[in-house]
Amino acid sequence: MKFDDMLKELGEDIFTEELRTKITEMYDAAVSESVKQQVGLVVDSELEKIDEEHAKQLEGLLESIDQKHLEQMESLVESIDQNYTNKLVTLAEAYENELKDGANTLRESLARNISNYLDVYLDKAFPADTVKEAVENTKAARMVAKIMDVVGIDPEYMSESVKDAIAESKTSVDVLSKQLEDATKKNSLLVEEITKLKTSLVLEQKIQGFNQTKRDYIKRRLQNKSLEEIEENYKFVLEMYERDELDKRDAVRARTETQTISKKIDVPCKTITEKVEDRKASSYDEVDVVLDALNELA
Amino acid sequence: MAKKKKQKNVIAEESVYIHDFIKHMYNDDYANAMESLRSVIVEKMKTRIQDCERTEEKK
Repeated sequence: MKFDDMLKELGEDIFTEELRTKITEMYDAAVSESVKQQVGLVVDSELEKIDEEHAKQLEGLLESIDQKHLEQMESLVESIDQNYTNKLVTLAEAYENELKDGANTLRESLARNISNYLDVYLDKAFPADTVKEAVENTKAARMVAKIMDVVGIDPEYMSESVKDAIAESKTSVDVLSKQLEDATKKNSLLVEEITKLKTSLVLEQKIQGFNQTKRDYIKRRLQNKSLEEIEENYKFVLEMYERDELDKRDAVRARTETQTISKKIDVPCKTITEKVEDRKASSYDEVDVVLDALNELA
Repeated sequence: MAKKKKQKNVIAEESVYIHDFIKHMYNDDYANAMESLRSVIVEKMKTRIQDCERTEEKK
């Protein structure tokens, strides 16, 4: 039932139309205002509740999402960390090994190079001959010490008396050595002279009784030769001389014949003579060459 | 065999002194480095003299 109808039932006399309308309007306005206020309050409270509820739900959701994301991130970071850690450990080990091996190799190489350099330096500074000499000296000193021990010579005593004796012995050894050298030289000179004299004597004996030309020829060929050479070549030189003489005689005979023929027939004899002379000269040359070759062989 | 072993030891000693020398040089400890170097040279000369004596003995 409407408020206007209720007022009508109360009596139209009491409330006029106009009043009723006003009252109704006022009543409606008041009611609507009150309703509005109440609804507003309810809506506000409900909205607040919903907001709170939603806020709580959102917080829970966010928390759960955060938690989930956090867990995921943690697991991801952990796995990445593990992965990178493993890789870094491997890398570090590899580098450590490399460093260790490299350092060892470098150290060995450096040690070898230093050793080689020192060897070369010592070779230059102390040659093998010097070391050998030093060793020999040490050995000699040791031997002398041993001999002294065996013989029983006191070094103090030796320094005064035996040293002088050794010095005198050395001087006499030097003098004797020089005398021996002089005697050897003299001896060799005497032997040389005797050999020369013997050679000339043998040569003189061999050419004794020959004419002067023959003697000169043989002497010229065999002069300054050793006894063995004279013995070996004497016969050959003699034959050579005889052959030369024969050649000379032949040449003279030929020249005589040529002159006789040139008188008989008018032929220029100069050419023939020259040829004969050339042949004679060439035969001499040949003999000289042969003799020289023999001398060289001897 | 014994000779070889002895020689090897000498070389090992040399090597030890050389390593000491390197170590001292690395640490800028020049006095000890010189001492090690001296020891190396002494060992080397000992080896040379021993070799020479052996050769002389063989002769």
